[in-house]
Amino acid sequence: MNGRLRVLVWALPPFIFLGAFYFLPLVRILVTALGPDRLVGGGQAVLPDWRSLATVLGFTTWQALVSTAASLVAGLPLAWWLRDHGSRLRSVARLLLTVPFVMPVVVTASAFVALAGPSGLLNRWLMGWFDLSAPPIQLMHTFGIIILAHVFYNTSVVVRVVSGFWSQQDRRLADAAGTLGATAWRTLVTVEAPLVLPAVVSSALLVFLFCFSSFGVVLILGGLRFSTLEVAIYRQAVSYFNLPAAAVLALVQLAVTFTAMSLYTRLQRRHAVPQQVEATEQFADDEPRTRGHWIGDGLGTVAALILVSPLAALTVQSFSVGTSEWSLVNYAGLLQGRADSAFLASPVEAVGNSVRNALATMVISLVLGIGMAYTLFLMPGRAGRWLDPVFLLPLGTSAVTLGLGYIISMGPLRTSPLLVPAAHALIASPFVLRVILPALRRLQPGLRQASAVLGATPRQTWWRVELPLILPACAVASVFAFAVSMGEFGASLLIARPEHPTMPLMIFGLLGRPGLANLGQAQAMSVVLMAVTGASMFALDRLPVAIREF
Amino acid sequence: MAYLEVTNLWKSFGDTESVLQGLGFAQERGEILCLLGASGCGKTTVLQILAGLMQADSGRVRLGGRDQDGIPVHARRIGYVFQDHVLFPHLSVRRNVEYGLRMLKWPSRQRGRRVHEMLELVDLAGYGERPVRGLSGGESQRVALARSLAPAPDLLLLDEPLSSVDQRLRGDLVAQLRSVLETQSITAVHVTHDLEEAYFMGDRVAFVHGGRVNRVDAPSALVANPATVACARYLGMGNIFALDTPAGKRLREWATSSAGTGERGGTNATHLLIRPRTVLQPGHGDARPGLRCSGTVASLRPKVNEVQVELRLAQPDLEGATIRLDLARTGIRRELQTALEASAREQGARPWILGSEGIAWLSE
Repeated sequence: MNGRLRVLVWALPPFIFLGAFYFLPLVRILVTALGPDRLVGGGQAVLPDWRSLATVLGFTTWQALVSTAASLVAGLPLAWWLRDHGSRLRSVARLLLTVPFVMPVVVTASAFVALAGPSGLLNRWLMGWFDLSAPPIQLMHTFGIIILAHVFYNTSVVVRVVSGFWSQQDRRLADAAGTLGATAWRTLVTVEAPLVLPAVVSSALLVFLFCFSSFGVVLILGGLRFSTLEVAIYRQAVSYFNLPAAAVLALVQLAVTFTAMSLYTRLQRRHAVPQQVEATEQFADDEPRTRGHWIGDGLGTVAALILVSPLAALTVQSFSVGTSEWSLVNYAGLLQGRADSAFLASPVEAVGNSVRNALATMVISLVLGIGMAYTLFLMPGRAGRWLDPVFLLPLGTSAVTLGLGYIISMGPLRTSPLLVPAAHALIASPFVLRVILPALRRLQPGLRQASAVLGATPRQTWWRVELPLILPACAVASVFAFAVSMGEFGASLLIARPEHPTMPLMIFGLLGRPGLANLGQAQAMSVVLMAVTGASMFALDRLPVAIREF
Repeated sequence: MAYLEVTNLWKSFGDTESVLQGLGFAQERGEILCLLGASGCGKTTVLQILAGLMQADSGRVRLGGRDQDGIPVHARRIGYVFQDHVLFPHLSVRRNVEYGLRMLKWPSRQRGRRVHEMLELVDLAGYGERPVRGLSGGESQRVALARSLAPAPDLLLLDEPLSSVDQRLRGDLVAQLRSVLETQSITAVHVTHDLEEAYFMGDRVAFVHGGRVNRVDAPSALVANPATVACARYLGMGNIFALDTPAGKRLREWATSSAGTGERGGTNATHLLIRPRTVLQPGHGDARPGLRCSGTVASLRPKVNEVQVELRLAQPDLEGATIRLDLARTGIRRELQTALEASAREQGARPWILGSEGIAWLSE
């Protein structure tokens, strides 16, 4: 098989998949939004007027800006504290801080309800302590809770990006400033801060991008009063079935996210300058511990604990019914389909659906990711450089937009049980690619030749040498894809069939229903989902292949 | 017809000058040929072409009378020991050695026997179940050798197999490698840039220079008579003088007459080589044959094992030419040492005789 044919064999599956499940839906969105045929379902569609569009866009931008600022305020001190490796406490804190970021959005929403909702832990305690008759904390469906949830999510982004960059800076620069007479504070302001500024800017851009595309948090915690572009797309598409209006909003969303994405990648490229890390770590270990260190450690630990407190509250609440007694009633409820349930499926079935979807996602995204990785690996020069960002495009497209695209374009496939895994695989594929490609590039080129001269055909070489060697990376990628699929909310909400709800959809449904029993079940299921995600993350941490930061 | 015939290989990469410019050699069955040359001279390229890992721009390779063109790598039955060994990191030592046999679909029992035999051959019996990651450089080199020998290839290619091995072990490994190849009576092409390795490994040594085989001969013959300027330079033989200059013409006459080498100068000779290790004897009225000259010792530089002498010639025709000589410290005669030291001290010209075997005529 010659080189070109080999590239084609690898490239074909991802190209067909991307074409059918990414570009076609996007084109259909474009056509629906701008094309002449805006009549849907026999009636004249009502396109959003400029004023309502400006209102939604304005709110989306405003909440994203406030969330970004708040995340920076919370994250930068923590990043400063975690810039040194060294103490065990700090590595625990670092692990704790990654937890919120990987949590599915419905788990976060449940967690905030469990902490600060009307019957949440804080209100229960306050009412108990001060003998109040009404819950004193009224945060649900306010601007504040949206921002808090975003801070919960994105502080870890700021910490990871900035402290990672910070720890790579040469510590001797700060030492030099010290020997020149600068106090610690002056050193921070005049030397360290300017050096880490690029990382601060990139993390801010990333957080802005995430918050701009925020969907689940705003939909669940914000209630009907607040609507970001994503929520507006969802409401237009699902509540009013006004697909052209949804498509117009989706276009605006796409334009903004792609601009922010390209800005981010440009920044990344300019500032990704690796420096010697080892020396820095050496220095850090030898540093004498001062009172400042102890205070820093104390404050940092408290901050990290506050950040994960919603998850703790969620766990506590899931084991209680009504006021304060401990019980497993909520979990027992998950095992029996409730007779009066308004759902078409029982909780157990939802778990089954999620696991099935996740397994299918794993398989599809692995095939896709391996195909993409080999395409980029074998494709020489310019073409490869041009293709790389194309394969990453799904990363910059919101799940709700994708879901909308599927509603518009999939026709008879709309009812296929494979549609949800296909969407999840598309969302997971850039991550899978980012894990497998480096593994492939690390393979010693001589191995293929050694195998060939020993009599192996290219196919035998792939099976016996290459595949076993990229298997650890594939394992990491699969766990990742599994976790992504288990927690995915936006796309599933638009395309999953009501009779096949996934766990996040079930949680969303239960949260939206009155009654403590429903709330309790939602929380129990959230804890299960949290455990699955946490376990996946733990497994990823233990697996021998490092995931490249995106 | 020779067993392996390589004819007129040409190969270039991109727009640069061709790495191979009509390289060719022939090799008998069971012979070990060393391709010796500087790094970047195209030695590895030759091996890659022989194995089918790379395509030559033009030229022909015949093995056992069969044209190799168009035969895919995996069907060639050619063994290859890579420079950095390239053991499969996910397989144990046994599974590495067994790999080629699996490709040939050998039954399990026979495979086991062959692997055992091969590991014994390379002195690694009992290493079968070890992972390859923990092996030392020498061990992994031997596993690589066993792996490529296991399927009993028609031809074995060795690409600087000892270059990643500790210098101290290299001598032992060369001897072991040579004896393994001999017991298997295998035809092998061994690529190296190391003269000593080539000297002890090869039945013949082919010196590659400028994209061609510049000189090919038995190792001892090659060292005794490098014959080409490039080869002499590569072997580190100093004192090479061009003969086409006016001084060179006088040098030719002087060498021919005083050393009595007469015809050996031939018409092809373009350069004269004066060996650094030639015997140096001071004295008058000595009738022994040799290159007679008069000169001053310009400097004496002691080294660990030898004394480097710089001799500035002083006879009328060759005024000012300098010859560098390396004299082994052991075996140097006391009176010679004294004379050298005196000459260096006094800066006076004295008569010297360079042994007649100390010169050689070279062509381009």
